[in-house]
Amino acid sequence: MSSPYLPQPARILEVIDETPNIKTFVLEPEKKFEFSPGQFLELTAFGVGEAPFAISSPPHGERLEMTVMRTFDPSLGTYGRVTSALHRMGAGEVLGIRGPYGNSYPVKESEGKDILIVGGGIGLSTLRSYLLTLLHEREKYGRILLFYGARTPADLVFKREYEEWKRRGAEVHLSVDVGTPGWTGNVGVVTTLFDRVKLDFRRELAVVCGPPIMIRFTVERLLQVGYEPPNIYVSLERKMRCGIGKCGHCNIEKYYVCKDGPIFSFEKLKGIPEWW
Amino acid sequence: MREPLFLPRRNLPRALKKLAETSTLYAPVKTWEGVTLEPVRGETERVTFEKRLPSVKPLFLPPVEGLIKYSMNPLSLESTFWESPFILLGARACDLNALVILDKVFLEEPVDEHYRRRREAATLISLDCLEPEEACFCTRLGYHPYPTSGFDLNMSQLEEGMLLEAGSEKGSKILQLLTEFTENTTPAMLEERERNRKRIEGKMEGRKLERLEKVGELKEEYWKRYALKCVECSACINICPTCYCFSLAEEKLQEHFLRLRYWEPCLKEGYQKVAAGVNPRPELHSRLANRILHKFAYFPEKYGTYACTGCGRCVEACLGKIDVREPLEHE
Repeated sequence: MSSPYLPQPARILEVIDETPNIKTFVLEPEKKFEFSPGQFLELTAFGVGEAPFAISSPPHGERLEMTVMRTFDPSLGTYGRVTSALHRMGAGEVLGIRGPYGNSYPVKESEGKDILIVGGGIGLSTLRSYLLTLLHEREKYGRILLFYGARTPADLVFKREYEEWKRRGAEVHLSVDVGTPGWTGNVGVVTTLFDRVKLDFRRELAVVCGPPIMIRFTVERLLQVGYEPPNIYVSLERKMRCGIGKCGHCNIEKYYVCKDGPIFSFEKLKGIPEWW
Repeated sequence: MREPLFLPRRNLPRALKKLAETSTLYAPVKTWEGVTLEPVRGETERVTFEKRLPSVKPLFLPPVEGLIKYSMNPLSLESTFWESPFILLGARACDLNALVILDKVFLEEPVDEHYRRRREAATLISLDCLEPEEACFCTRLGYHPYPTSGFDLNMSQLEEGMLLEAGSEKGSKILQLLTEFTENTTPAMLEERERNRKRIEGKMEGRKLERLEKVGELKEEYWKRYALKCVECSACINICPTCYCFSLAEEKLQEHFLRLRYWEPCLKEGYQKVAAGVNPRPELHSRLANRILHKFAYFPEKYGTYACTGCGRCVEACLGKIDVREPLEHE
């Protein structure tokens, strides 16, 4: 048996610039593997380090895609070492992958229901895997709405795909915190879409991912407009060193985000003060 | 399993020498800084059974270890294992119980192969406690101050020598190896062991841990007070035989790289901080509370046992005299 911390090599086939600080890496792993929407991989920039990232492509597709933001820590004034190293890599180069790890979005439970997906910033990465999974078998689901917000129009990820998502049956609503010349859409944090969009869909299932503060306010809004805690799913971010429930870093009380999550129904989290 | 055998005190040095010749022997030895765990070769007179060991955790989960070795251009990756056989002598019941707790984490799927191989490489020779330390509270968590399982060979100190009892095939082999030094036991010897065991358990009767099951109900105000004297030094975590949190990092070593695992204490401010700077647990009292609650509330819910053996080493190690028993007794 080999080490559970041993990555397998994956070749970068293509790098797509999404925004000034977000890139999508199309990967070809040495050994193919199955995964579910919402799961994540530990990516290794060899010689630098390893960090967890959500898979942004759906399981049924041919391509394995990882969408990575180059992180910046304002308290230290530094960029993330691993994300910076990944961003320097190009097609043909090899990185390491471990996984897939974690649980997945409630795809089966989504059947026959109206689904509201709320994303903020890079959070749309993991939600895209879920959204494309739903659109792949569109007829199984009720209405599919996407509320997506980013800081500025330049920070919206997967811009080139919104029209196609609409064509395939998703209702896409965008918002930016700060507009720029030429932007005609909504301005305001993503929760302002709850005031601008007609909420004439059934409150059956909501799925949320984004920065912690955005998740918190979105969940509050969802509860206000009539969603029940068991029908709200959030995908959480934590420091996940090992990805396999051993290193201890990602705990939220008794849960490990890497193993029991990263996706939790709000029913599980609601009594926990530090959940977000 | 074989009958227990008796090792007269006069034969002990030669028996230890024999063990040291057979395999790498880690044993408690007297040094200028007290009792430490060290490899022992010929100098078996340094071995002492008076005081317990600091913690045997480093033999199974070293403070720093290489997990993977790789080179780039061209990329080649391999797992690295440290798995040469060794004998660990002098582990107490709390050390054995701690391994059972670590097993739950590292041997559950996906198995931590590094840990598993070291567990397999180890021969555990344990020892009955004769005197409790002031901080000991194993009996109050339902344990005994003498090994009942999990050992290959157990030694009970008697007036005239050691009573040796095998607990596994490995232990039986050690007994065979020591045949020339051992004698048959008498019923009086077994009675002496029972007397010793009863005596120490009697000494350890103490206050009940009234709040053990209710520790999760303590409010933030309590933890704020409890953490007042904590200076985040993490001595409690380093000495704890069951604290296992770790981190991973890459290190360049000449022409190749190592992926290292190192202990990372959960009291550290940046323990949960993510790359973009968000820190879900920025306050010390919430990190200290998480450590205690992990041991007595979260871990039991997940694995069915406390992540604590009641060894009290953290109580001895704490600069601020913070006592792990306090939140478990608090009214």
